[in-house]
Amino acid sequence: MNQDLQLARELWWIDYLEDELEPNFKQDLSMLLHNSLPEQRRLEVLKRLRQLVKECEESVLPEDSSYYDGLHDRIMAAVDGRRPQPRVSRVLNRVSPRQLTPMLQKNSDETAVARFSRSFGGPGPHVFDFTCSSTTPHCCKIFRPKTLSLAPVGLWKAHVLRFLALPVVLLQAKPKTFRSCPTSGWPQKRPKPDWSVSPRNLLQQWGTGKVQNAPVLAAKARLKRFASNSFATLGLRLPVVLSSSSLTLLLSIVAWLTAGRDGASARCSEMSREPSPTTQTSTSKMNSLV
Amino acid sequence: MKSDIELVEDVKAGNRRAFSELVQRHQRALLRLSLRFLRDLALAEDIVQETFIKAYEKIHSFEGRSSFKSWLFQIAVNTAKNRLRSLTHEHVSIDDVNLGVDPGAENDLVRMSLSQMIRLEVSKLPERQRIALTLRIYEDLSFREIAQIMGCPYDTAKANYRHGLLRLRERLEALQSQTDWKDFERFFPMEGERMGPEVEQ
Repeated sequence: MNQDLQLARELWWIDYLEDELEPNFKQDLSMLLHNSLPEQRRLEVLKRLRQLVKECEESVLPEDSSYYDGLHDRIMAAVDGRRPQPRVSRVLNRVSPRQLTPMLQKNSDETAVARFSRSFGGPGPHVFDFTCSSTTPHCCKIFRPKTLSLAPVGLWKAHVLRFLALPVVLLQAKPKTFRSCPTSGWPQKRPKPDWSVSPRNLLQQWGTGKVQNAPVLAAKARLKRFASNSFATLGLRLPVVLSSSSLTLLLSIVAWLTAGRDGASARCSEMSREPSPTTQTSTSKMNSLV
Repeated sequence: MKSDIELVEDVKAGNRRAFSELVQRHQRALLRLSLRFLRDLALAEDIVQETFIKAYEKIHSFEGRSSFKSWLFQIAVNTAKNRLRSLTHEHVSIDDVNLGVDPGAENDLVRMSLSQMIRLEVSKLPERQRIALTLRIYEDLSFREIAQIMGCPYDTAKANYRHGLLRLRERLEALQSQTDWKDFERFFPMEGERMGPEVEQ
């Protein structure tokens, strides 16, 4: 306590010496200084010390004006080859990607959700279930529908195929479970597919025989998978696809066609049963001959 | 006669002669400041030249919130600090290193004059305290300017100066108690009642 008080007094006197005190406080200290000999000595020591430090400066600066002219010429010669750099705008400074906001960083749950949605989210119909049970803490179920790899196909074709395959996708949607650990950069990012070699390019490369490196082989496998998926979608899964809204339309067409064919056949059978006038005359002629 | 700010505006507009005028105005103060940090004239000249080059290149970033001199000092102090750090990291030949203790080293302390001793103690201060002390006592800058040069708040600059001065006084008092040097008594009367009765307890 005593030391703190002593330090505070020292600091007061330094401020007094440097004229950094408020006028009222300075008046109080002046009064104290006038009546206290120890305080006078305290201030005197500080004043002498400051004076000594100021006086002990080595004055080795050259006084010759030609020296400074030479220095000036050297500086300007060094500046000659340069030009002022344009000022960097603040917009450019903000080009770097923003990190998670501090509020999200503080809340681990929200951070986890934000990271999760950033990694797995997007325009697709994803459903996230973050309810944690006692047996599986930090567990998350994601209902991510299987989608066909449609990147090589044109965009409108992709949309058409997605629409047609939607019932299949919904029927095949399976929950996937991800283990998590919030302190170790959870959740792990899915490895992104390598689209450096598209199947279309692969087909072109097959013609030249350049299918040796790993990306090409991977793309080849992906192309096979895509082809089988497409075939399955168009062939084997077609009835399943048609089981939804399009099935009704198809059934009505089939029914209409069936009904049309039935009507035609019935008409044909009736026509076959009815004797024609020519046949009727021929049979009557035969009967008369007999 | 144009002010510094007007000259800076001229330089920004492409007037090279205005920058020449600024160099003439401030080169002496910058040389003095650099010399205090580096204690070598050739190195100090390099610092001054480097400071002006940096100032010329970054002249568009000077917004006039502080004085041009403070801005130059800030560049010079940072440049000198970097140079000092690089000097301390430079390779020293083993032949240049003196192993062992000079037998006359103890007497050197006595032979040193008081001003030399103070200079030595100032150079031993922590970097920020030394900068604040130098800028305040030698350059007579306000604490607001010192804060701008050091890139710290006003109170921090002030605290650095006060603690530097107090540490310097403690060191000199300790030296006085170690040596029977009469020069000290001329400047620091070390009597019993100097610190008051509460300190003696």
